[in-house]
Amino acid sequence: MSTKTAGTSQVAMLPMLAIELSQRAGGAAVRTTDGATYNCGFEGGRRDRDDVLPGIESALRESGVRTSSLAAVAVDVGPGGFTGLRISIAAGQAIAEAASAVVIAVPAALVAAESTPSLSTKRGVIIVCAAAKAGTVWCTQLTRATVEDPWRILGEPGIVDRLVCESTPSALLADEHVDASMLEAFRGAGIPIDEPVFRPSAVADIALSGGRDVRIFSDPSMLLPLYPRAPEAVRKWQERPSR
Amino acid sequence: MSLAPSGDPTKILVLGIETSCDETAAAVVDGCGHVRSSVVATQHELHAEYGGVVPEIASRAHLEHLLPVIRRAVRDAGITLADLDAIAVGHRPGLIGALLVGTSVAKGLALALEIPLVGVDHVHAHLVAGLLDAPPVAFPSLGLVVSGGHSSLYLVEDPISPILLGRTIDDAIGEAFDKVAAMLGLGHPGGPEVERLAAGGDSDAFDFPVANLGKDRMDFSFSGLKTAVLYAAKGQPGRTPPILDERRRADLAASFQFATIKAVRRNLRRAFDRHPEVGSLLVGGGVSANQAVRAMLQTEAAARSIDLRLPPLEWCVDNGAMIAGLGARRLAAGETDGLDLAPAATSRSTVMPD
Repeated sequence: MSTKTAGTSQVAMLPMLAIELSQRAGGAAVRTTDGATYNCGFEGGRRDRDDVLPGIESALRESGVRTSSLAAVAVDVGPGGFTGLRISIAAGQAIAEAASAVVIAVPAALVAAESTPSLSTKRGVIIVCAAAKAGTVWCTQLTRATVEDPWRILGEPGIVDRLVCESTPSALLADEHVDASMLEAFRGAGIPIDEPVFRPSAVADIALSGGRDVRIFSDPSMLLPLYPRAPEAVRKWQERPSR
Repeated sequence: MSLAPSGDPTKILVLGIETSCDETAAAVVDGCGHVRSSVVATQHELHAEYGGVVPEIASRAHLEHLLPVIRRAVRDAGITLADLDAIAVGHRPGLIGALLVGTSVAKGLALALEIPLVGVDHVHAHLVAGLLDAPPVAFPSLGLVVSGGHSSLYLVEDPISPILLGRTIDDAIGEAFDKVAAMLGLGHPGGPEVERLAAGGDSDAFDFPVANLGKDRMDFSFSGLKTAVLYAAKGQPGRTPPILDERRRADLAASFQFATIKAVRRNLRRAFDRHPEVGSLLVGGGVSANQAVRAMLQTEAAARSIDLRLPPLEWCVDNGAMIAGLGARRLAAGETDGLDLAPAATSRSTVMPD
């Protein structure tokens, strides 16, 4: 296995396939060597007829890029919906394996920060809440000095039951699953709270900009989801009274 | 499909991918059903603590192990991915999260390698396990799948589309083995443990019931048997439980195993009587590794001069070779699937009309 963080030439990463399916719906983006981007959207996880691989195929066809010529496959690795992540990561692994391409794991919080329109004018510290469950969330703090800079992860993301930020955040991203009580203090302080947006082309942008938050693997099997918690069944088993 | 120039089926190479439950498996099989390689990574240790398969753990493990398993299968076959002519994948039935991993990897490979994708019904694939690395069989056959998830009888004119004659209406036979194993304090998976314990027991010690769902029906039911074993092991509600010593445990295991074999034998005999045109019996599934079950099948087949195709033990369990084997047959018949192939939790068979 080899893993790299940043530094790899952008040109060496092109053409790139980027897949975003950390939410119920997502899409793919193909970035060509001349910098053009071809997008497609898909629902993901449909039981009757899967539309993820057909979507990727159509984006590749439209871009004129042969799958076998891909240099990199970048995927949003979450945290997010298990079904979507499972499909996108498994497909990304296989495509990269067959194309001898590197894989790039991009955290969902970076994708949300890069994709959400209201954040384009923000700088300083922001908070991204994800994977909300039973009064807890996966909390990632991001920062940048200027609006031209890419967002970088601040400290260690993790599961919290209370949102704490050393400096006042300039914005907060939280979907409808986040417990309202966790957001009250920020709302009261007038901090804007928005629904996160996830764009596949943002996955490509982040993968190309590199940095320590993005992991690059030459072994595609190392591309795995970011699991915020142990499986629910395991937790229930461990908590059962007879244990 | 990149057919070999000579049309020689031995030159057609199909990769089979299996992730329906707790085995991560891949194999390369040629168009004649010769197995070039077969790799199975079992997850039994991951699930042992829980007494059964935890779907989310299974899915996570598949995602972690499938690509390395495929690499090894390809390497063991002495080829590269570029030499493959098709990707076959078990896309139904099974745990959805687990199947999603296999189907997504299969589709990604098919897309990137620009070769056909062939979806395979996992239960039907068990029927061809005994045809791998073996001479051709004369159809029609009877098919029997006995595993942790399935207990089904088929009329097989072609393994691509077997006709369902009967199936379990409640627990699968292997599931009953697992549950009885738990009652007797044995580990998971329960089949081999019950078999081991049964070897030292008296199969006549308990006269357990064998469900008869009607003299013409070939369906199975094991829930009543399971309850009878529970009462014999732990006592009926409100009564003093019996002493479950080693002797009783072994007798319970042997009597239970004997009852399941009686159920399978009775339905097999009905099927043979109803379909005298069949000359062969295809068997598959983890329970077909049970030596007492195998002995019964050999006796029944010999009595009727039936060509019995029992898979070797390694292909009784879930494996990629059977997926590739059935996939190769579908490919030869011109049947392929699109990238929109979706996994499904249930099997789909044509049912024999009454």
